[in-house]
Amino acid sequence: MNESKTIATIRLAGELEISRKREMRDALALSESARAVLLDLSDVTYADSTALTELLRFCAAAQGADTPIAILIAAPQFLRLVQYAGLATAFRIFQDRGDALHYLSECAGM
Amino acid sequence: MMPRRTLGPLVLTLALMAVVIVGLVVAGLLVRAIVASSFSNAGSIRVARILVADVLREQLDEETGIRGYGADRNRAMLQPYYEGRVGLPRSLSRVARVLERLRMGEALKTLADAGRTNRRWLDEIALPLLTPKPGPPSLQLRGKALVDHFRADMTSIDMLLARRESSSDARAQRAILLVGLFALGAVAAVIVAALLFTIAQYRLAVRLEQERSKAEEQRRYSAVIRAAYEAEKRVAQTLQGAFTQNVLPEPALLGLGATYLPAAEEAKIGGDWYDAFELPGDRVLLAIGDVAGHGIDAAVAMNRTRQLVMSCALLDPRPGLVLERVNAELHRNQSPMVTAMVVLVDARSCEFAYAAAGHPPAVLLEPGRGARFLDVGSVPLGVLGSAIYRDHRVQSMPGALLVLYTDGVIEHSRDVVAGEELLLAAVESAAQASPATIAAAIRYRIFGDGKASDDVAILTLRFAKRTEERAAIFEQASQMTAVAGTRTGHA
Amino acid sequence: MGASELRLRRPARARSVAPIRRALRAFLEALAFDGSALDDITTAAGEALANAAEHAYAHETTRRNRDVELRARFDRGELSVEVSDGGSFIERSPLPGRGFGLRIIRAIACQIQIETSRGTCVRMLFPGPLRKVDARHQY
Repeated sequence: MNESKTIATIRLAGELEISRKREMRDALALSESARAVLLDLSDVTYADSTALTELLRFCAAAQGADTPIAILIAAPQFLRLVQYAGLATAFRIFQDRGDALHYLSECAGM
Repeated sequence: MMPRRTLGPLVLTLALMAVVIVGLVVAGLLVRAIVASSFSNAGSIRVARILVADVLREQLDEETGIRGYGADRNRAMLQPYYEGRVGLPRSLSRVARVLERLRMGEALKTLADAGRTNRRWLDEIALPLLTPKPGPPSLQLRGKALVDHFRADMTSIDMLLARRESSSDARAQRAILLVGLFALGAVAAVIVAALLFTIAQYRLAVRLEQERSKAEEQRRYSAVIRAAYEAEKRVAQTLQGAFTQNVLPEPALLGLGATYLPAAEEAKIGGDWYDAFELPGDRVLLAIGDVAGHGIDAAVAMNRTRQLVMSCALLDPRPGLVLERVNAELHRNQSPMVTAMVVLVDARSCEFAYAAAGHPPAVLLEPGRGARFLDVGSVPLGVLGSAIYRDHRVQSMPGALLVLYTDGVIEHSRDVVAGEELLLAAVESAAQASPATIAAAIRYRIFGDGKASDDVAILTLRFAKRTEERAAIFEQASQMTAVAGTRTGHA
Repeated sequence: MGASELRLRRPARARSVAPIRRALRAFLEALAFDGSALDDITTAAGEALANAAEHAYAHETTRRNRDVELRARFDRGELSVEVSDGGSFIERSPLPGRGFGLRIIRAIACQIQIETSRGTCVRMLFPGPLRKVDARHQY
């Protein structure tokens, strides 16, 4: 995780599935100083419902701390997974990094 | 039909009993034979002993006769001698016969010896005396020895006979005892066999009973399952049929409309719902929701959510709070996931606040502006116990149109983006219709006459534009029958 | 052309899921599945496998055999994928509740059957790659 201005970036790659549950949970942690979080999952090749659960937990915690989250997803499988799970409106998903950062600065600036 | 397993012990028992019976019969016969032979033996022995006594008597006669003649030289004295001499060999042979029958070899030898002794006495003692020559006096001595020897022989034969009698008795007693024991054992065996048989039968009966009760239980279980199935179907159909024909309220300053199009595929129970009710202070609460899944769980969740929304809204109509309360309750009951949106509308100020839970964003069309989505990211109800739902306030204007809908409206072709664009266009084109028919117009614009693959519900609200329009709307609304109800399912 | 079948049986653990899923993917690729169908079927199977790994034997203390078995069969243009384990369905946290696994599978598969008489068996049916893909599965 590296801090860039007030936007923290959390990066995860590869397959986000059940065997990496603990790793995901440890990585998806809020830091006190971050005003917004960019969750870079653009190098994730596969995701399952375990990942969705961890993401939800993270986003709920962030919402409690009034921290906006933008999620970068590139893999079509991941995008469709979110749709199938009915969580399309639960996450702020972007495919373009610029859009994501733009959204976050808008939120954080508010 | 008796199972093979019971036949074994039964046959065994019968065989055992047959053997025992045969054994008993044989034993009985044996006992009888032994006893009979014992008796006949005893009889023979007694006869033999009498005969031995006869022999001794006859020998005594011989002796008496000879002695008498020896002393008197009177021929008349010889009578007993002659009698004895005739009778004794006969008696001897009769004894011999009995001894042979009794198989007393030892005694036979003694008897033969006695016979020889007697003949010697006759030859050496009796005969010489009968001839006229006077005999030497030592004859008498020699005679006595022979006679003693003869007597001793016969006495020993008698003793042997006596011994034989007693041993025969003992043997008979032993045999009877053995047979008696055997009979007892046989009876015991029969009893044991009968016991085993009874136990086997009992066990079999128990097992049969167990299997019968198990089969009965299975039957009852499947009957219960079947009944539950039927019950579920009945409840679902009841819910289906008993949807409240919810007449949309006709608040002043607002025009409400709605439409509901059930899915084209198999009749699903549960699904979309919408509610609209007036609150004090010229306010209206709109709610729309979508329960995923089918069957009784979905129907129950949908009903519960509807009621929760209503009761929470009556408590405190702030949309975010309503959703938070409903979410907590649904999460607690491990309900299926529900998406929902709640909008609190102030008719006088044209202001509204909304909160969403995983629901597709509402569409707002304001005069002079294109239709746009009121986007807000949110988590469906029942997923996270601690989800936070916030109010989003929008200050709108008279003439504005707010459209709530369920995802069947935009996901009909799985291309959500295209679906969304189509919806916006449909809203714009249907905006000029009367409030009561806008929803139907939007639906027609998207689906035409066709059917959707998912439930479709659309709820619209229009802020009345001008006073005249307001009055017109009011009049129109009061003449319209309800376009659609709040359905819990569809036939 | 006859039927093709893939059968794999591994202990029901979290780290068994990915290899089985990849094997299924390779199997599907060999059968000329591609694009979104390939992803979707793999996802659906992955969810069923993950569910078995997480919940199947969570409450078991006596069972020695804690396996999960995947059986994929492609026959006459139709693909069926079965994920079965020996765990009891009742013991698990209810699938339709907060978990997304079943919801995802339902969104993808043509048909699912869950059989819980002997252990648990989740059976999913998908159309084959050569059949005309209907609107449901097309992007």
